[in-house]
Amino acid sequence: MSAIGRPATLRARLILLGALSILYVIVVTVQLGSVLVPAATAMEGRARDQLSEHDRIAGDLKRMTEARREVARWVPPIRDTVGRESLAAIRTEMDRLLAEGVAMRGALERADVPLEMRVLLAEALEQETALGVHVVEAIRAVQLGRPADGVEPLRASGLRSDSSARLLSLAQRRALAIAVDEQGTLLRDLERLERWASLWVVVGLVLFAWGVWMLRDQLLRPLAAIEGAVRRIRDGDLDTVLAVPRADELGRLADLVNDMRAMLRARAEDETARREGLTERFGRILDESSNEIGIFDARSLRALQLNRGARAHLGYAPEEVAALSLPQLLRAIDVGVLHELVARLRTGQQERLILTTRQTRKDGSDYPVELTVRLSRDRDAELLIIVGEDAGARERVRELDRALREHSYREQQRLEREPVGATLASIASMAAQALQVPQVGIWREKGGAHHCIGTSGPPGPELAARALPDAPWHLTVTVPATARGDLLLVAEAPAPDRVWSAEERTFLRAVGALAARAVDADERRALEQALARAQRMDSIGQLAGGIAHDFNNILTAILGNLEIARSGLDPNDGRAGAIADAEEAARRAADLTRQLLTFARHQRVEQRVIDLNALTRDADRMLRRLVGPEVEIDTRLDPALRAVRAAPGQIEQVLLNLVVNARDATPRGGRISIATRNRLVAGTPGDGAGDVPPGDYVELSVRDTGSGMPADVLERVFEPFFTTKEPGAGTGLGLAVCYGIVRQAGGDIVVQSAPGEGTVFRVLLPAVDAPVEPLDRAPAPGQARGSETILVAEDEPAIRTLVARALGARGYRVLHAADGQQALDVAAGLAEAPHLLLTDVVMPRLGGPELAVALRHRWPTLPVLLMSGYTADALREGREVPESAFLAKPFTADQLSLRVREVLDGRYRRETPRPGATRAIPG
Amino acid sequence: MRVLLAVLAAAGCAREPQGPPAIGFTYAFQDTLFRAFLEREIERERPEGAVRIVVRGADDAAVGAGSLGAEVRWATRLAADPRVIVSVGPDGSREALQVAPIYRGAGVPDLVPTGTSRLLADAGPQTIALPPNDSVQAEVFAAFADTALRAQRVRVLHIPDEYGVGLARFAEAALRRRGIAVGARVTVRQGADCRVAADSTAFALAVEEAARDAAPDVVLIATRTREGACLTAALKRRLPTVRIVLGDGVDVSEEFRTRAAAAAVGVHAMLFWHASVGRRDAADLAARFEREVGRPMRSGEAMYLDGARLAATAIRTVGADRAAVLAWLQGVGTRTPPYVGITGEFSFAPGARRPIYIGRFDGRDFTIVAR
Repeated sequence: MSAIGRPATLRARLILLGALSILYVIVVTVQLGSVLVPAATAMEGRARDQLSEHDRIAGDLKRMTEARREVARWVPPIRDTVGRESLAAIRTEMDRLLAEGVAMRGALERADVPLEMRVLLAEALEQETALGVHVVEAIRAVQLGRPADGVEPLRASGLRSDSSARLLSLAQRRALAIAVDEQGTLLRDLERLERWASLWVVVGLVLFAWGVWMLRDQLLRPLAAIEGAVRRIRDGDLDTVLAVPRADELGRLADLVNDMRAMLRARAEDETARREGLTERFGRILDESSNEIGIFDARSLRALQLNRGARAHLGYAPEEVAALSLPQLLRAIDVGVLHELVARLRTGQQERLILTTRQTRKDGSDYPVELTVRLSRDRDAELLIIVGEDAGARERVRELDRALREHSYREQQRLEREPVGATLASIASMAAQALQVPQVGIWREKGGAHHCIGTSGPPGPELAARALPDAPWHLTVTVPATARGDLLLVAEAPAPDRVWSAEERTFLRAVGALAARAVDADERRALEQALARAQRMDSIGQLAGGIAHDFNNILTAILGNLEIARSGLDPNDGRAGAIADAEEAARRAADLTRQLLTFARHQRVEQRVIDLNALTRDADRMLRRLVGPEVEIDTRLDPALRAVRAAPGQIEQVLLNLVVNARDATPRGGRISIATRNRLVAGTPGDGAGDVPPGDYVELSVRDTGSGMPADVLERVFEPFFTTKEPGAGTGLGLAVCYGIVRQAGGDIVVQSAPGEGTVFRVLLPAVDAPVEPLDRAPAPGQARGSETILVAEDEPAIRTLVARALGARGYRVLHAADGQQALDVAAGLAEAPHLLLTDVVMPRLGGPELAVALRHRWPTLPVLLMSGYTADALREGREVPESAFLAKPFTADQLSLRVREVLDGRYRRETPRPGATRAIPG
Repeated sequence: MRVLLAVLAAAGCAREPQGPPAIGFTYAFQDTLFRAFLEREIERERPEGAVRIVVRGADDAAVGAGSLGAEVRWATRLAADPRVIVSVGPDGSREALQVAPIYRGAGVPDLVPTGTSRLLADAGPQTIALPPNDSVQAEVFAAFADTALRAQRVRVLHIPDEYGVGLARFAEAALRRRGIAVGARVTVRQGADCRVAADSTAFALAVEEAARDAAPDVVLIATRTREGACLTAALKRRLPTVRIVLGDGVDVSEEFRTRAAAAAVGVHAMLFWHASVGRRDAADLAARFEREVGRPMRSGEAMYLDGARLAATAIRTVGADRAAVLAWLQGVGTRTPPYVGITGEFSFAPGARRPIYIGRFDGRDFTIVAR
């Protein structure tokens, strides 16, 4: 429309286009002329040059022809009268002619000589040469006095020369014809080109004039008519019909303009009715808004429309709206002031008004409100669009926000003394109350699964079984705040028509942040506690292990010597009883040190793939005898239980210790529940899985209905020598041993207890997918004798003597040394290898492993049995002395002889232990 | 229209020639058996995997033979064939000079197997003469006439073309330098045949003129085979004791022996090659030629064979490119080692010499008596 609305510009552009076209034609013509004329001139020049060249060649040919005729004239005189001198002159002339013929090759070599002409010239040269020779021969015949012999051939040759002359003439003519034809063709082409160029220029001019006429008459005039019609339509004239009676594009454009006019007219006729319908639809849209919206006449301030929210707040029915006015609703504002405010909008002094005031309901009560007022101008009216917001609701949100902050402080305090579950429940309850919903749940998302970790309802065991509510009318926010997964907060609305405001969403997100901080703090605190406990337990273990090591050396000597002393006495001797008592005390001390080593995880054990269910069933009878008839044992074993890798004897001891502990917690009888189950540990807080990485585990739980334990007891329950029993009633090592065994097996043991609520211990061991292994059987002590030679290295004299005596008494030949170096000296004197090297690990000058390595240089297959009171030595020596066996101190003479026999017989499996792997010591 | 034609022409030029590369071959003997043998030799020497090279003969054009005009037409036709990378022939100096501008314009290297005129050296870079030039041949002849034949008076009979005139002129000069008397040159008509009565008289007159003032004891014949045979017969009739030396243009072939008859025995001829001299493989090849073609190989044919093999080597070395082949050929003996052919080593370095022999015909074959 705008382009058509500038005909002057279009016309000017067309005129400019025409002028440029004319200029173009002129330039093209001039350029053509400037190119064609010089080109034609140059071509003509070249044509003339070639014609001259051909003329020159033709001249050569002509001269040759004339020379040949001259020779022909000489023939009669040669025959009759020519003298010797004349003949010599003729011969010289002929030589000259021949030389000229040869020189003609220069003309032949010119590249622009046409092939046909080149061939003709070559043939002419050949014939002329032959003719010249004929003349020479004729002269020669005359000179030799035999003119007849020379003239006749020459005459015959002359006849051929006639034909040669014709050939030369033909060549001359054809050469000229070729040249003329070639250049003539060129010139004719040039002329034809000029004629065509001129013709096309004229045709171009005619076409251009025709085009200008076409533009003016066929385009500009109809466009002007269309422009006028469109202008009239723009000005509101929808009655005038545009008349462009043509069938081309402009005719179709005119028809479209007429169609547009008719359509606009029809639309104008429908406008009023459409406006009414639009108002009604607009009203429905307004009703959907949650805000209060009102439309008032800016002059009369009368209400035109109130949406449903406004009517609901104000208490009016829809039919009552038309009778309302703005002053009636805003009684707190003077009418004059209202008009003044409207005037500010009308004059543009302000774009909008924000009024914080009170709005009067139908029943006369009022409420705080914040109104945003805008002025909208219609064609014949001014409207006030007023949007109201319940200031009370906003104020409530602010208060809730303040409450949230205060709650945050309180929850921080609560978190210090209560489990995180209670804190989360408190947070959820606060949120539910603020949002006025029956339930708010706090969920943790991990790996696509959701676990409920707190609700506004009372916490309980059903919490974990809750499913994530996903009704679309609930409000759900996600808080990516914790290290172990996102938190989801779900505010459960009771009905589908609940509409959530942005403030409520923000509020719930803030609640989520608070919950996340609580979870983080709890996890951090749990980690700190676990770290502290682990450090404490590790320190205790180091101490206990060190003491036990020294005790073992001492006890080995005591036990061994007591055994020897007792064997030398009559059983009826009173001293034998005393020695037996001393032996019993020493064994208890050895058992104590063994338990300490177990707690400290310095006990070397052989782990096997075992079935916990089988182990529990085997121990069932013993356990029932242990707890007595007052306590009922309830066993629930998962038939699909997976296997675990652990030392079977140690796990049996864990079960025994836990059951004993449960028995002691139920002095007046009760129930002990032993259960096994497969368990997937996901690593979520509060899952009761202790400090194990996520994965598949087997859980062995022992639950009692006893008195339970307070938190301060729970904190130290696994420490060695910590006991709540009466003095002498227990060693305080039972649970510590359990802890050490389970941790050594790669699992953890957790305890849940509260005063009056009983206690449950849960042992978690990593599940394995390997077949269960059978148990080894120890050899009978009676078979542990022999006659082999054993080299013993031990720096402790008491033990060295004990070993020598014990082995000597069983038939062995014993060579002993006080350290490794001395043992090497002893071995140097041996002609053949001893059957076994039995050596302590730590010795002065040269240690046991170094001694073993040195001897194996000489006897690579020498069996080695290392003995030590400290299991860490076993772990180290296992790496340093491959294929060695180990015997832990303290040991009895039977234990020693059994192990020695095993090693000598090759029954003790010699293998290089893996780092961390341990091996059981039978007996 | 012209623009369109120019575009089409450019497109046509840009297109690669169809078929294998070819050696253009213009051979005055018109012997198909020789050509077939030559093609087999080129194919036989083709290394495994190398491109096949064909021979496009002048007779393919079917434009006639035996005249300068025919040579011009042949050369024009071969030069216009994009497959033709190099040409071998024509054999005569005059013909080679005649077609030199045609090959020069097309950029086709032209190996001239038997042309000896010194003018060939100035015919353009494309024209490469394989034999020693006429001045060298003249020196050899003069030395032979002087030392072997003890010549006192020599006459030169020649045809009036670049070969005959050139050899005659340089021979006269060389003889004079040796103090040997030289009578006036006697011109004979090229193409004349003593079997034609009229021409027979012309040969007799020529001999008569040669013997007119003082009979020569040695005659050099610088003609083609037919004229040489007729002159030999005429000379022996007129001067029975005269010793005849034939220039390289005379081939002691069946044609020669037919016309010269008994006069042929005892003539000397200047040769570029003979099976009895040179390399063993050359002798083997000559034997193979005689076996497959049915006659002994001529000296000129050996030169043709070497020309064609040299051309094939050039194409195989640098590819089917006329300019590259020309550059390679010009560098033989300088940038690359001399080419070893049947007739000896070829080198186009300045001052390089080619062998030339003088043999005595005993009625069946030649005995080389000088080189």
